Formats: sequence, structure tokens, C-alpha cells
Amino acid sequence: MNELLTLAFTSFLVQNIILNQFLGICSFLGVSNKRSKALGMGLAVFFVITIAGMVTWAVYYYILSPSEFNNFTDLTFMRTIVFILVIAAMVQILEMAIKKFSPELYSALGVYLPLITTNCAVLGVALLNIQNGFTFTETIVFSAFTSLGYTAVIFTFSYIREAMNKAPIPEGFKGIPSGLIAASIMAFIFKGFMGLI
Amino acid sequence: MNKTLYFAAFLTVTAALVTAIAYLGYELTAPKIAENRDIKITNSIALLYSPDDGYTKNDDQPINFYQELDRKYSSVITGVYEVLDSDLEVHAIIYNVKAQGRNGLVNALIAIDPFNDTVVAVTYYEHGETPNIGEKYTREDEIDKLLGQTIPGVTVDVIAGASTTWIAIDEMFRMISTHYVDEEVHIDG
Amino acid sequence: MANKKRRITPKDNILKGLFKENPTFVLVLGMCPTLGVTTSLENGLGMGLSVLFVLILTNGLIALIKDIVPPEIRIPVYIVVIALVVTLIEWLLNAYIPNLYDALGIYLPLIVVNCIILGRAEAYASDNTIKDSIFDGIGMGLGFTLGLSTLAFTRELLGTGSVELLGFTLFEASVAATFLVSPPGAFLTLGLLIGIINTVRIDKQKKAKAIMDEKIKVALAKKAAKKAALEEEQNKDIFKINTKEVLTNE
Repeated sequence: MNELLTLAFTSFLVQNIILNQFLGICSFLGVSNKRSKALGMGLAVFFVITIAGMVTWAVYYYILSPSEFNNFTDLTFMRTIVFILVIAAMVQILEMAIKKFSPELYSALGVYLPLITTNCAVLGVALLNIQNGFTFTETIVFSAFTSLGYTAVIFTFSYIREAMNKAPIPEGFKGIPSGLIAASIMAFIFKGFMGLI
Repeated sequence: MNKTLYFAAFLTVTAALVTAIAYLGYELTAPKIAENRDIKITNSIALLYSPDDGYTKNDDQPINFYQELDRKYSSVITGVYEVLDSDLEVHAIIYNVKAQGRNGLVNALIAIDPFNDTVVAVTYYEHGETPNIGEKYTREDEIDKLLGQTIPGVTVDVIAGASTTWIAIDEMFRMISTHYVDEEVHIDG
Repeated sequence: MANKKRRITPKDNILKGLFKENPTFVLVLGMCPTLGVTTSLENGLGMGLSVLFVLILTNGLIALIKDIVPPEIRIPVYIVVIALVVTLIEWLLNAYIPNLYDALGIYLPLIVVNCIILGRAEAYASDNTIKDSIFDGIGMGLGFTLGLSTLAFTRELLGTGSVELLGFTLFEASVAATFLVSPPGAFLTLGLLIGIINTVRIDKQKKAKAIMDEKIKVALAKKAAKKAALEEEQNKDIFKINTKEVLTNE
């Protein structure tokens, strides 16, 4: 239990996916200029990464590796290809499911779901789960808290960017450059969390 | 032909083709990759225990508990090797460990004397730690502090400002201790 | 005066990828490896060149199969092709340049979801000839390499004090701001670089616009002058005719 808590804390703050591991930056820069957009994207990412982490873990250990279901060959070399297809398919299914069962949720985050397929964060977390040799419980904790780290950062950042939009910034620095510089200050702050563990 | 059927056929053919090409590529490169790894390990072990002094890596290591590493160790321990002295007696157990450091992976070889359960050698054969900060751990004086400590219970000194590197090295020793104790690596004699 | 429509030559493609539509500084695509891998010049170059190879192969392959693939399922097929190419390159690097493979770490398989590759495949390779697509790939790949190398060079030089490449120490500076090789430094350096380049670009655009405006003004003025001169001529003629008439009538 202790280890799981440490893992959760580390993946949320210390090894924060955006500010420390640089996964998911494209969407981070693109969607964080409005609070509502940022929240929508953050929640969508949370759903997708947590579920994708679990699904890809199961696919890797029960379908690709020799196991009870796979008595033929070791297919682990197809890892990247299979993972990205699984993620793409999963996102489609998720979108259809959310559309059917919860139209309110769909209106909040449905439009971001297709974008997440090519978000480095999803494939990155899926591969990291395997690389770090996590068990299933550890995978759930890692995926969930990593994506929560993403949500927290992108949401906080949207506040900052909204405020920056009203500030007098030189023409050339408006938009992405000023966003990046603000992100660097946030990263400095998060660097301090390393000493907490 | 029915459109869906055509799609399904197309996708199946693509999948088969892709798997075949991937398999081919894997078969061609995997041996070289394994070879690279073996050479790297042998070279690194030679740093600690030079073949000139009669030490060799036990290539006929019996298929025992520490050949097939359990998943719970394999995220940190990439290999466990026996070093034999010139009489072909077990001289030391070397743990090839890796952990996430400040700027990438820290790879180390840590040699344990299985008779006394003590650390006898440490070398960081690959790392990207910050010069003058995390990299200090790789210097003689810091390594000397580790030698002679008993498993389990190795304490690593904290260098100010190098907490991430410290976390990595501490994790290495913790995993080694877990493996050492659980797999009963100790040899009586 | 309208520009004549030129056929895009390979050289145009390469230059476009390098400067006008540079993926890192202008299009701001492929940010994840840009920030993660640029801690040293070697890594930056390595990643850039890997992406270059992948781009050439994927653009070429997709342009090759674009006519066979049914449009409805083209995205999954493209993704599979890209994933295959990246996996093969991954293994090649692991076998023959293991140092680079270890340095790039998780960012190497993540080239699959790099926005640049799928973007170019969708936007360009699926509509153009094989040759054009390959050159577009070369251009974008070189542009990406340029972006990564610039960022890596700056970070390594100012962050550790010297730049090493293939064993040779290229530069030695006497000050080192270590934070530049860490995550905050990545964001800061990239933000400043893009900001500076944007400022220069906007300046250029403004100047170009100003020159254009001047030209238009001059042209309009000329036109007006011509018109005035023509009117004068007409007036003179009328005057001549009038005086002639008056004289003849006299």
C-alpha cells in the first residue's frame, strides 16, 4: 500500500507527465488557452489514459506474450504497432459509448477524443507501464495518477494563459512563446517536488 | 463485392503483410541486439574483475532461480552473473542494475560477496548524471563509502542537490537486497 | 501584376520544410521529442535524423499505396505503416547504434504519434506523387533536425559549458546555467527561440507589407499622373482644335 501511494505521488507530481517527462505537449499548448477547453481535454485524457493503460497491459501480457491464451509464439515484438491500433480502436469505441450513454459527458469532452489518439501521452504511458514492469494494480495507479497530473497542470495553466491574454506582450511573443515561458516557470515549481520524496 | 467485405479483406492482408515484415526485421536484428548486450556486460564485468587476473564470467551459469528474473525484479535488475576466479570457484555475484536518474538511466554493476553478504565493488558503466552534482556518486570517494556494507541494509549517503540520483542508487540497492534475501543468494562456506 | 503559378520543384520543397514551414519553429509540431531529447547536441541530431529517415520512408510508402487504399480506412492503414517503419528503425538503431537508442529512450517509439509524420502523410503524401512526397519528407525532416539541433546546441552550450559531438569537444564556454539542461530550461529556451523567430518573421512581414504598400502607392500615383497627363493632352488637343477653328474662322 505504501509503495502504491509513493507511486501515485511520484507519477502525479514528481515525474509529472507534462512538466517533467514532456509527453502530451502538443495538446497542452494547443488547448490550454480557455478554461473550459482545458478541463474538457484534461478529463478526456484521464479517461483514455487510464483505460488504455489497463487494456494495453492486458493485451501485452495475455495476447502478445506466451500465456494461457497464446500458446503459439512470442509476439511481443509487435508491441508498438498493436498498442497504437488498440488505442485508436479503443478511442473510437469509447467515443461511441459515451455518445450513447451520457450525452452531457459527450458534449463536454466528446470533441477531444479523436485528437487523443495521436497524443504522445497515451502511447507513452502504455509503453512505460510495460517498460517499468508494473503489475496490474500498479498499472492502474500509474496510469490514473499520471493522467490526473496532466489534467491538473493543463487546467491550472489555462488560468495563467487566460490572464496572460490580457497582458501587454510583444507581438512576436504572443500565444505559444509566452505560453512556453510560463510553462517553464511552472516546471521550476514542480522541480521542487523532487525533494519531497 | 460487398464494401465491408472488401475492407475486411484489405485490412487482413495489410495486417498479415505488416506482421510478416516486422517478424523479418525482428529476426534480422534481435541476434545483433543480444550480442551487443552480452559484449557490453562482459566488458563492464572485466572492468571490475579483469580476465588477466584469472577472473571469468560464468557462462555456464546453471539455469537456476537467478537466470529467469521475476517481473518484480526486472524493472531494476537486468541480470545477475557469477564471477569465477582462476580456480573456477564462485568469487562474486554481480548485479547489473538500472534505475531512472536525473538525465536518463543510471546503469551500474554492483558486486556482492555471497559468503559475507558484503558489497565488494561498484561501477556506474553508463549514466547521464549532472557533472559535479549527481555525477559525484560515480567518484572514488563516494563508491568507497558503499564498499563493505552488508546486504540488506546498505545506506547511501545523500549529496545535497543530487536527490534524483540518490533515489536511483537507493532503489538499486533496495532491489538488490530484496532479490538477495528472497532468492537466498547467500552461499555458506 | 499576378505571379505566374510555378510548379513546386524539389528544391522548393526542401527549402519550405527548412525555413518557411519549419516544423519546430513555425508549425510548432512534434513538441514532445523537441523538449525531451535536446539535452545534448548528439541526441538532438540523432533524433532529427531518425525522424528524417522515418519521414522519407513513410511519405514514400504512403504516396506509393495511396491509390490502392480505400479512403474510408486510410487513417488506420497509414498509422500501421508508420508504426511498422518506426519499429524497424527502432530495432536497427538498437542493433547498430545502441548508444543513440539508449539516449533517445521512450521518445523513439513515440515517433509513431509525432504529429509531423501523420500530418504530412495526410496533408501531402496522400495527394502527391512519390517524388514530391519524398522531397517534402526530406524538407520537413531537415527542418525538424535544424530545429532540434539549434535548441540542443543552445541548451548544451549554455547549460553545461561545452558542446560535444562524436567525441570532439566543439565549444567551451566558461559559464554554465545548469537549469537549462533540465525541464524548465527546455520550455524557456524553446519559448525564447520561437518568440525571437516570430518577432523577426513579423518584422519581415511588416516590412514586406510596407514595401508592397509603397509599390501600390507609387503605381496608383503613376496611374493618376498618367490619367492627368492624358486629360491634359486631350484638353490641349481640344484647345488646339478650338484655336485652329478660331483661326480658320477668322
